[in-house]
Amino acid sequence: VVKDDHLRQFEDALEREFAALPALEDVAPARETVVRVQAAVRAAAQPAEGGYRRMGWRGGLGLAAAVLLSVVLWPPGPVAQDDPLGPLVTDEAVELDEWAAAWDETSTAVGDLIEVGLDAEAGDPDVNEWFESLDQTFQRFEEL
Amino acid sequence: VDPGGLDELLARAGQQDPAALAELVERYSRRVYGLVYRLCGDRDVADDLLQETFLRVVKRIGDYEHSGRFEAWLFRIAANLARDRARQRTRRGEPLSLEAPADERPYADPAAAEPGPDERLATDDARQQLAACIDGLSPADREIIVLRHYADLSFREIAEMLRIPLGTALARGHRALGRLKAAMQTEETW
Repeated sequence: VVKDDHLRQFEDALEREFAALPALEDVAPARETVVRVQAAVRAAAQPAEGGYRRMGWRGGLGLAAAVLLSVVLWPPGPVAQDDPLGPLVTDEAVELDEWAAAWDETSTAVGDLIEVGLDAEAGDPDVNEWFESLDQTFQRFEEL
Repeated sequence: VDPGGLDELLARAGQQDPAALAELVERYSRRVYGLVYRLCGDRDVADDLLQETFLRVVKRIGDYEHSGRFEAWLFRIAANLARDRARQRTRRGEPLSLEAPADERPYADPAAAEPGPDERLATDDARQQLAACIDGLSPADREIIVLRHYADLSFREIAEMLRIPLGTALARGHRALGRLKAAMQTEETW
């Protein structure tokens, strides 16, 4: 309790010192930057007509990563039932895990970029066809 | 009380209404840009971080529970992204420019060039001096000053965000403020 009181007094005193500083002004981004960000958030909004489709292929990307990871990390083989410590995590497995996480992040970024392009071309039959083929690819991936 | 219809706007944004999300960008881009630019000191990086912040908002707005601290929530996202970016660049041996040259200062909207109350405040000497002194601080000092003073996060929120104990956050804030005041006094003597 004494420590908490001390911290609170310290915090109050520090807050008063910060309050005495002049306010910092906002910084205006370029107008075109704001417009670009607005286009990006509109494109990323989920409930649009393409929402389920996007969720589908995003899910597909995630599933593909999970399948790849599980196959490499836990290949079929004899299971050590009597090892009380469980499986050892090798350096290679850790590296692979990091790689998979980076891959997942990259795929999300790519997805964002694709969505921006998609919204710019909303309704384009070529884009729809492309998505259908992508869906089929992921379905095959899933079956595998 | 719902200043500017924020509650209703956030409710619509939570339903992924594209117009509401775009309106959030319109309302908060200056504040978020001010934060990330002051943290990273680089206009191009700040542009990227602005977009990344709002894209993350789109993903997470459904989980946000409005309690009158939307800006703090938004700033925490932006500051975390700025920290991630700084770490990435440091790993690649590309430390962020801490003091952007004058010709790389953020673009000023020509439409806002007419002198008015805001602009007169923006050119206030004390503010300019404070901003210049903050730019000259170390990244760690600058971060805590900007998070507390510009982003208006409480020390508890800062401690949680930086994953440090409250006492450590307060000590860092105290030291950084001391160095900021020293820098301001030095400027005044010139």
